Amino acid sequence: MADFLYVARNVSKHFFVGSRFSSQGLRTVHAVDDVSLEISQGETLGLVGESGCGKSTLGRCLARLYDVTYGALNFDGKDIAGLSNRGLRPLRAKLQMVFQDPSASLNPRRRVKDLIAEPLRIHTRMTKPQIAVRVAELLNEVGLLPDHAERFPHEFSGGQRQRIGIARAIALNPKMLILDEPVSALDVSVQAQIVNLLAGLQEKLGLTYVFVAHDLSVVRQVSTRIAVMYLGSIVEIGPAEDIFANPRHPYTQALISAVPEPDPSAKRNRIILQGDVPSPVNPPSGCRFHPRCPYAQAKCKIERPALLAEAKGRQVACHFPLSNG
Amino acid sequence: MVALVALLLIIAACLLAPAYAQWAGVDPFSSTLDATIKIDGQDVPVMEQSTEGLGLGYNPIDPTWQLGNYFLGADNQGRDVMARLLYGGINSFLIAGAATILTLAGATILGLASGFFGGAIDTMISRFLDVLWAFPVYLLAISLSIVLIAQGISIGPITIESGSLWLPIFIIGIIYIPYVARPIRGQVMSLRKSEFVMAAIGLGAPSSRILLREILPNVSTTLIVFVPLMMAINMLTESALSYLSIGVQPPDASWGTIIQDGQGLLYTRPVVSLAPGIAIVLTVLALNVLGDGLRDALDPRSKIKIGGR
Repeated sequence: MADFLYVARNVSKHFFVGSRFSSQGLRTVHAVDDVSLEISQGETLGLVGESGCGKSTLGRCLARLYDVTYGALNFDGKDIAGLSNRGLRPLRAKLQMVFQDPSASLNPRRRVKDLIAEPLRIHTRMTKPQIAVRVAELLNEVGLLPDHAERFPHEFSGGQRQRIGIARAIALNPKMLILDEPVSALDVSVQAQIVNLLAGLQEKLGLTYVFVAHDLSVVRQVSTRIAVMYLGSIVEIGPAEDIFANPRHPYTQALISAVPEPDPSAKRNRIILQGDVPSPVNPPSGCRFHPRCPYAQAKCKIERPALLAEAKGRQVACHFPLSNG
Repeated sequence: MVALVALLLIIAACLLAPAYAQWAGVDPFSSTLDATIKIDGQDVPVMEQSTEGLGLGYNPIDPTWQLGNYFLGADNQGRDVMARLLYGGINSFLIAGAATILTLAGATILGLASGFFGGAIDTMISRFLDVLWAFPVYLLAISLSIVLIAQGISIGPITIESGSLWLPIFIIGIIYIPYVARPIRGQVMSLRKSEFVMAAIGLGAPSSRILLREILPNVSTTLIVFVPLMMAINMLTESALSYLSIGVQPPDASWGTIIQDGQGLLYTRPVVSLAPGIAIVLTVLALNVLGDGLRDALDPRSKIKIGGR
């Protein structure tokens, strides 16, 4: 345990929809279902999957913006799963979050300097001039100008707003950032700038990232390891290049085959999955992926595969993992 | 802008009431049945003997249309209607304004608490507001007034004597709370789920800080827009209550009481009722136009602007 910065064990997050009094009763959405993972200091864990697979929910559970329904979370040697908001406050300084849509995650009625100073005001006893100095420092760090401090968020472009969000997240020198699709709301050219900024900050400040995204090419570029999620569960984890070169889970294989290829003449074997993602309200029995899996067998319908460790730090949850090919 | 200027002119005129009364040399709060005034050098009694038609007995004089000299005539007590109109305006504005502050303060506290904390607190506050809401506004106001106007009210350390201006302020302020608290609650509920509040929780901000720094500033435009609208509604309610003699108590004046004073003189001296009526219409119109203008100005997302303002 000691060598990991963050350890999550059997984490589940259920939401309840509908009403106790409706015909269907109160239904449970299994947004995150029995997820375990470890994150080492200084790495970037990419969390990928299609929309609705629970990757953002898992990110928010890790940041403890949501209470987890079951499971244990251990950050920096402390159990944080059961802490109240008040008890979490000291940990918030070390574990920060960057949101997907910077125009929604920045209060439209507050100036940039107030937005960035907010964590400093909550967690430190810095004086006003000290805070002003630190805000200028942070603006410079994320590539904004000092006179941007007096402006409101709506006066900025999407990329600049995300820089403000990042400045706010690193204000307290955290150990870990949870990046919830930090670039998917941005233009491709701006995406690259933000990705570079994040990489630079990671190197400079020794940050650990959890990078939630649905864009595989971005994840491949930034991640040291990748975890692939399907319907609330992790189906495969491993070093980024290894996963791309040699996917073991049929879902990972299908996902990777869908990444656009820059060379139009290159030969592609796209695997088109049949059907839609099943509803997390009523997930399929056995392996969650079996109704859409081209290789599914009888066992897959009954028994749920565990996430088992393999060579080279890889883990896969499949009864019949694909061999090298 | 026109509305704002008109409103400021009306308020300024009302504030000049004491000066006007002194200048005209009239006492608007006591009956002066035997007073005489000079018109074109002749002494004319304020109450003139009537000889024909419906106005048998004594009639107050017609408007002289000379400023400072019973401009709008006299009422059935021989008092200068113009002076009373201006004094009444002060009371009308005072009651409408203070009741607006009371309504908005109460509605903001209840709306923020119920929208932000949800659960049992929300249920309790919402049901309480529903009970208030279930009464027709005027029925509730009239019932409260009739009960309270007689003996006043004392809640804890606060005692309001009967006949005090605070009584109509209190009544009008309370009855409109649900109408403002509801939209505030809805807005707070949606803001509560917004990503920037999530971000504030992620930063470790305590609830009080989130309420005051993140949510309240986003509700403030709604509150500002409500100010002129509630002023207008409150003024109408005040007039209605005063007209029914359960608002401002005589000899004090408000536009509603002056309308009532003029009721018996409608056939012979309609100006006594019409003048405060017109004052109410103009003020409420100005307030409503101002409210619309404010809403357009403060909401950056409203694309439709009513032209010319």
